Amino acid sequence: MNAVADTWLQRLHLPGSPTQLAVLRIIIGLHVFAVLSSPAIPLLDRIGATPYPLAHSALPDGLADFVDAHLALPLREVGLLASLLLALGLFTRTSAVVTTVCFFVTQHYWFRRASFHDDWLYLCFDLLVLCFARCGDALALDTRLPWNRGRPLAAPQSYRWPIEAMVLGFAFVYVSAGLAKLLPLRKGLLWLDGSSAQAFAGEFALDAPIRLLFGTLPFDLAVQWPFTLASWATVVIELGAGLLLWSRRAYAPVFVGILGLHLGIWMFGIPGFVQLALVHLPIFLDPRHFARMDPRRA
Amino acid sequence: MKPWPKALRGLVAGALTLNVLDLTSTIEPSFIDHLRETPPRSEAALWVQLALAAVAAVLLVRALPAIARTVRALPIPRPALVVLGLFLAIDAVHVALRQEHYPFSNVGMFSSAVPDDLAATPIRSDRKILVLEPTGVQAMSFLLEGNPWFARYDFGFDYKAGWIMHLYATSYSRALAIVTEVLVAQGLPPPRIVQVAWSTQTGELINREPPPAGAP
Repeated sequence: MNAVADTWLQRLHLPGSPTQLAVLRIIIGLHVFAVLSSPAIPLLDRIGATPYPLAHSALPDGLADFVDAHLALPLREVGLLASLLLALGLFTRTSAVVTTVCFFVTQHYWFRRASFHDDWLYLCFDLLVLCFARCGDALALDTRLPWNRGRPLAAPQSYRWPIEAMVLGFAFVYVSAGLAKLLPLRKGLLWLDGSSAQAFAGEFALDAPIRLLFGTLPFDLAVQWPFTLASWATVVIELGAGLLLWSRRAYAPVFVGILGLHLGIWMFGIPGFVQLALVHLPIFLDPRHFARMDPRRA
Repeated sequence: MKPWPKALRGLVAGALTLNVLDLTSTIEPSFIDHLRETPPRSEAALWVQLALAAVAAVLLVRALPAIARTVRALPIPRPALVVLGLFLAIDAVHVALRQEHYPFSNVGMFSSAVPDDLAATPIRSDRKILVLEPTGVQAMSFLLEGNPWFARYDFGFDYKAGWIMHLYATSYSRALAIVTEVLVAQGLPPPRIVQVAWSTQTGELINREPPPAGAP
């Protein structure tokens, strides 16, 4: 590992791999396809769910209601096709833009009705990155089209900045989560005593997979100290995501910590975010690992 | 004068940033505080924090040319830099103010402080859907139903659909109708919405009370 060029700003100038970016495009495309084909969105429509009062939109109220009423469900169908094309790398630039628009609109509908705490939301930034990235230069049907044959590859750094932008976005989400728990600091001190985690565990005790695995809860949830430890660990892991911008040496411990955090939360009842972390796995791999599969330069 | 060591400069910058965020995070009321109010800040602390914020503002203004040079030198195409930078900048404002307006988020889930007596209570209660099975009464967990490894009934939910039913099955009549339809098709009696209590020591149901008047 090159210790000299190791901070985020330095890494931006390093060469990237078209294949690494393509792998990310395929994974994100398939994940968006899975999101848009989830039974959850039609289920919301079927039960007639209305927007949750605390779930605000950046759009003005009238426009937000119009988007939900007339665009969300039809664009979900378009998004399914576009995300599949994105994964296949066919008409990649167009399909990336269409997928992004459809995803933003569909998620607007979902977010306002699903009590708004949601991991799907954090794919928005990745999709924006793909809209500007040369993500169809490898592992893409586009490269087989007659009019694209012989198209030269871009400069090697062109394949690096999208990966590093997603590292920045990933770190941003987790550092923000850590700050939300600590701020304002007078509230953060209360949160760190573990009572919040304890209350959530109690609330979801009937939903906890760990209860099924053990046959009972593994410990009495009225005991606070395990939750105090877990709360401190959570904040350390989430704020520790900032180290991703400092050095690549932080990639493995931060990623394992985040995955462990989400698996732990899931075991106590709350699913989600595990998928989001796994989708981002390729951004933490060294581009040199993909070099053998990269298309040859003309 | 010798410049400060890089690590010390980083620490000071971090502390000043945290101070500013501590101030901005109380400008607007946030849903995060709905369970427990944040203890008030003393007037003396406020003045000290404002003075430190002024220092941070001066340092930031002095650093702006260097920051602008760094941003301009980033090897990112200009349109991407503008769009992505704007998105993150607006998101950062939401983090600072602890607000959420789709698609911008402060990532504030599970950030609420809760009253101590709620946290340590050995018994919790809520309205749940109960299913009468041949082996006894079961409390429906839609979060478990959203996971193919743990699901008991054949709803075909993923974890998001499970979450939706967790939120709405006891409050939307059409949601309960969907649950009833699936259970009846599996030869089970229609479920009932009941106020139940469970132990936070064992995670088991400990009593069932009659449904409140007017409940379906």
